[in-house]
Amino acid sequence: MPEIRTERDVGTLAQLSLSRIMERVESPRVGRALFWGTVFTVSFSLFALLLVSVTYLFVAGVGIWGVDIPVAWGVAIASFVWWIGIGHAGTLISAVLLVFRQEWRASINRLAEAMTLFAVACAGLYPILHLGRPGLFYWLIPYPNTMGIWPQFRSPLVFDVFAISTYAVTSLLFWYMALIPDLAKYRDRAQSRRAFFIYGVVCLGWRGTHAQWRALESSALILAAIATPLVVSVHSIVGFDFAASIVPGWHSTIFPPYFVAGAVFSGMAMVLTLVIPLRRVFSWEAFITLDHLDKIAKVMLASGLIVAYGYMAEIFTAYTAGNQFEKYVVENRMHGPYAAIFWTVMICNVVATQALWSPTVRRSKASLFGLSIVINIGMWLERYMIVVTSLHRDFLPSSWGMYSPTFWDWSTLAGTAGLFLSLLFLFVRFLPAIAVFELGQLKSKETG
Amino acid sequence: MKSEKHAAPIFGFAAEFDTEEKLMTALRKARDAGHSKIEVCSPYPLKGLSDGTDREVRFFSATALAAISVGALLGYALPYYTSVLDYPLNVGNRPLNSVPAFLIFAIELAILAAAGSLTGLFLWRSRLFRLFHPVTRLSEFKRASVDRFFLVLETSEGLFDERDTRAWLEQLSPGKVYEIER
Repeated sequence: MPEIRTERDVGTLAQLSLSRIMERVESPRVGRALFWGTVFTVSFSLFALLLVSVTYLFVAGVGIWGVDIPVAWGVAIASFVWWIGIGHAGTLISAVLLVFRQEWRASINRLAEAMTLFAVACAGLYPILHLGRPGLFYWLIPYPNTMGIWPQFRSPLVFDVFAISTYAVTSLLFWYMALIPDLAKYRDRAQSRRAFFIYGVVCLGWRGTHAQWRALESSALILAAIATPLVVSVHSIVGFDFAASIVPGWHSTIFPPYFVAGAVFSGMAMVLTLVIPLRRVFSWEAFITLDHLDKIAKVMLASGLIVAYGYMAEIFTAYTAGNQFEKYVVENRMHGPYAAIFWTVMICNVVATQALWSPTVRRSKASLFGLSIVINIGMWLERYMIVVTSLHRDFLPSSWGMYSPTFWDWSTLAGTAGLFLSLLFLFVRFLPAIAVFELGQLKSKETG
Repeated sequence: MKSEKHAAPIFGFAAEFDTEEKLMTALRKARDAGHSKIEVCSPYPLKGLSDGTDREVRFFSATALAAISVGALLGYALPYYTSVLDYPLNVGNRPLNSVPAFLIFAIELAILAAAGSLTGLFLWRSRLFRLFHPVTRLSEFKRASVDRFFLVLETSEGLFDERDTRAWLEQLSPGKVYEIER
């Protein structure tokens, strides 16, 4: 493939020595303090806003949000679906691409996997905050209790508890396991006793012997194969939350696959949003090359087309199934009070995505970054549309109503973004954000 | 209190190499010479070394399969016991044993069990949690995690002789040979 030279020359993986690679990966820990300090301060301030919002929510109850009857699920559930969807790209990159031996994943898998963990952390907050009585969240867990009752295991909301906790735990284990050898590198290069001690403990005494590498590679391969169904199962189950109900606009068999495609689509967009600035600031262009961006963009285009198919299928069934309520939901989305959201979703997720057919766009950082922001917004609005427009006008016109988010809805959403970014920047600074040992392995394979 | 057998003054020798290829050549020679307590340490998995990898993958897969079976059984038993045996509840006249719904718990717990057991197996097979090893006394060994390749021979094997082994290692033309204190 012809190399398009639009980048500053930072060398290629083959040109850089192992110790230079290590220095580059380590650069956020030692350099760029002003940049890091600024972004972390902003992120952490947003996180503080989350703490304020959640405290007020715990004191005053969910009435501070815009939710009411008929729209009892609002920004909170839309954001829950959005965050959990973002996580899926990380698992796709780290697990599915490992199983298919796609070596290009080496430089972005750890960052993507970290993104998964932090997105799942944000997503996991929402259902609990939305419970109304968050202190009783443990009722969702089956434990023998004096009331003698159990959770309702036929309910997708209970599926969610199991699916998301399994997803969080498996992702954490998978991520941590592959982090161990690189934590040992940080231990060996530690400048202070404190850093040596902390990295020394968390790397569990890794020495890089053949037996250790063998055990790591075998377990990572099998674990990746086992994590692969999670890419499909978690968001399918989130889709069931909607599809298993009888609400028009939700009660549809297309939901699980359409949600999974949407998850990969928005997750890849988030990977681009994060990776494009980070590779520039920390000079990671040699590791995360334009080829990487190009490949992510292709995955985004493919999943975006499946999402577009999902939209069409919804409209098609609404008009052919002979159910007046289904048909009304679609017409109400297109022409009703929330029509602006529908058309914005179509422009962001269907029209704008078609730009990715062009190789020039796929290899232009500015266009990809802009497009990734557009898609992130479009996918959030899509979930908002699914949640709100289906509920606000269902079967009986007498029970129709409107929904509008309050300040606290928005502050909680901004706050979770703060939590996500704070965790991400802490990760980038204090942990090896790029899998150095995998780069070494890749380099060794390339050179012969 | 050290026993007589372990009273050897040193733990062994570490030979440092600057490329993967040199290490691999040295490893082959060491094996041919009959050394048995050999350890190689590298900053990334060595492409030329696949001893026992197949067996290890099989071992990990077998464990994962066992964990998946147990997890799936428990995952099905949980909703079955609670919703069919302990507290049967008729919801919209759906069958008490709702197979499609309950299978989800079987799948999730199977994955969870496999992930947990693979992590445990990895920690055990790679002997982690052992935070100290004599070779880490060498300050030069710190580069083994970045850009140096080490061959470590231990004294506890039969063939070891302090002077001969050192001379033998040096003729492999490593960057340097270090003595590892016990």
